[in-house]
Amino acid sequence: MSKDKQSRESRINEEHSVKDGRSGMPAGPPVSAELAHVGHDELAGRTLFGDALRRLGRNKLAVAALVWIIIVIIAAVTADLWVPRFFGDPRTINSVTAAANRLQGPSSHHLMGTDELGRDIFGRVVYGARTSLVVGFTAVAISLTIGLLLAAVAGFYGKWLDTIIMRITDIFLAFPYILFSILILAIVPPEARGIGPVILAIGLLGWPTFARLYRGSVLSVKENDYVDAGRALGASDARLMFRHIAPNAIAPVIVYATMSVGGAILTEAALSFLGLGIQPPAISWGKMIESGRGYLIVSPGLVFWPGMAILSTVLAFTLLGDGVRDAIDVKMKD
Amino acid sequence: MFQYISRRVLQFIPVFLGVTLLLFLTANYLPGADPIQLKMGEKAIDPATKARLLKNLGLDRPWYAQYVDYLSALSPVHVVYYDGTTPEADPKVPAGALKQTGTVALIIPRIASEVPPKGVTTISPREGMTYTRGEVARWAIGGLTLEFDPPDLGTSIYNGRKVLDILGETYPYTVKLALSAIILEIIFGIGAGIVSAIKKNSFWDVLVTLSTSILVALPVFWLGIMLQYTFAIWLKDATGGAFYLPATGASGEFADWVYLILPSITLASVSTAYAARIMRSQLLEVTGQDYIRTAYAKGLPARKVLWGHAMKNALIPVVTFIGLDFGGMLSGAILTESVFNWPGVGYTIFRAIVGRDFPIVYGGVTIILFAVMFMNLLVDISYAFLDPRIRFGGGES
Repeated sequence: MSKDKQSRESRINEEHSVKDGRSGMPAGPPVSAELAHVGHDELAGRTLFGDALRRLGRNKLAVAALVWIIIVIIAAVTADLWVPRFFGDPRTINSVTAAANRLQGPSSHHLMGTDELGRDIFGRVVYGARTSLVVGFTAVAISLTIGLLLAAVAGFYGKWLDTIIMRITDIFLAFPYILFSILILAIVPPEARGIGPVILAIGLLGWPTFARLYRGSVLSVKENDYVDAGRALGASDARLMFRHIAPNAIAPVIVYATMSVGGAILTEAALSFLGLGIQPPAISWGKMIESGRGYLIVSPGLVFWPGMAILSTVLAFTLLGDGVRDAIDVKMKD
Repeated sequence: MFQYISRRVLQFIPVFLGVTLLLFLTANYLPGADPIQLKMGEKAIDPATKARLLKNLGLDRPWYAQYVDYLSALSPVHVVYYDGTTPEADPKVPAGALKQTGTVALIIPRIASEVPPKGVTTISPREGMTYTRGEVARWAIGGLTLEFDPPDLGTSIYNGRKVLDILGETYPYTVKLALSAIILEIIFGIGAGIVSAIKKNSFWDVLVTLSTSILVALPVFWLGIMLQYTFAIWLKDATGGAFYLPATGASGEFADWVYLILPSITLASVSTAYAARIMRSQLLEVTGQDYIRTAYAKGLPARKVLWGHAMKNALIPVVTFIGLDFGGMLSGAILTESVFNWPGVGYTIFRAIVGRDFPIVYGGVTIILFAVMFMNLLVDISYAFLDPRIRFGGGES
């Protein structure tokens, strides 16, 4: 407790430090930065969640990241409505115009140029966002579910159950992650490869970190008096776990989950790049980079643009995660 | 200290068994192309020949028997089942054959059932090791017998070479790449972290914070390809072929270290960003503590406070991260290695998975596990030297 307080104070000191070249030296009393510019009336009726949201709204980088994520989501969802109309259908090969249109540079009609089969790169990048977002969100949802359930059981009941679950977690963490996902995807026969196996592979391998994080959180929250009070009042294990412990222990998991969406997008791209993930004609950013590699000398845009799409989307999830962390005030390691 | 190390080594055993068991379980379900067909190409295979090949490779047995084979071949002490056959019953085995192979058999008390599992004859048929169940049986009293032999990882299905030889050729490349990447990481990661921490909120701090965020979000393989484009294609064009860096390969017209430049930058990119972030946040946290204030109050120059007082504590988590990261790099970098055609262990394992060359997959993962475990141990031990407050007594690590 005291350590927490101390670090909070040191951070506040940091924020208020005078720029005299000796950062870290306190200047002035440690007034909470937040309360300083909030009137008394506004303090009434505030919730923890509302507080966090307000703090997130003040973080310009996080807001920009959120806006970008929303733009990508909207573009991906509505792609059918506008991409084929303006840029030609990037999912199919037009055998009549393919030869004439291939490997063009950027123009008003093809914002990022065309690929080796005459398809619009911008359109393909937009459609690729569908794959990335679906994989990102569902894979993390799977990891989250498995990790939280196992960690809740391990952290709440402890003893031998805890030992067994955490040993299994250790084994999963000791296995080289990308290697294991390659192995899992290699099991899938080539004709069955695609988005489903990729989601499963990433989701099934991502849970150990969630489990570790949440277990530690549960262990510390469990010691609070209100949990004992709940138990004394006759609350069931499930009620204690979900109503009393979970809301207080979930914060670091939320932060990590936000960042993990970006991580899952990166992994999907890597697996598709290695040829084990998304298979054509489905569109994936990683696969676009892989197939564009052969035309690097002639037309580097084939590799450049999908990479920029991955970079900007993953970056947005990372920055949003950073913002959420600061907003809900979780102490986490980098 | 010795107690601590031995406890950590013992803790490694269940993790090792778990990972390898998981590996065998997963690999056993690899369908599609079977290894023999892959080896033979398009040619039709006579079923009898195929059965013989599978038997020679030990692949006709159930996966758990293969797993026992693998474990016992790996350990210098082998487990051998005795089924009661005597050497005399096998005329092909000359007397004293066991001695010629230099194998020493240890006889241990009977612990297993006298009836061996079905199909289990000898452990790991290896080149040059011609002993049969008869030979081994001579040295056993029945039940279970142990014998000494150097660790072995089997032979490649594809080209019949020893897995240890193949890994012995590829692993140096992984180590070279990992070493050069870790040097970059130490110099730039720690350097950038220190600069951005002591010049907090300056232009340099913003630059470091921003570029580390970007680096963390970069797809490594894309960075590699873009570096290839910039330094091997674009630069060559721009300078008229006078100056450029090689895009792929590990030897050739350039000096050996030149081939390391682009791959090691690629491999180091993400970790360097993490190292810089950790260095920065640690240094900021430490400089907010009382003993630093005291040091300033004593009138010590800022330089001395930073290097003599603050860095000592701030470096510990950074060293931990870099050490563990080095362990990760020693497990091969599949993406970097495949972008640059780097003949390291990661790429070798990747190709073996795709080509269903199981012994290489098992052997490669084994080596990787030992490398990671060794680095973890080294990191833990280095705690003692960096932070005298840490004791290797009881308690959770």
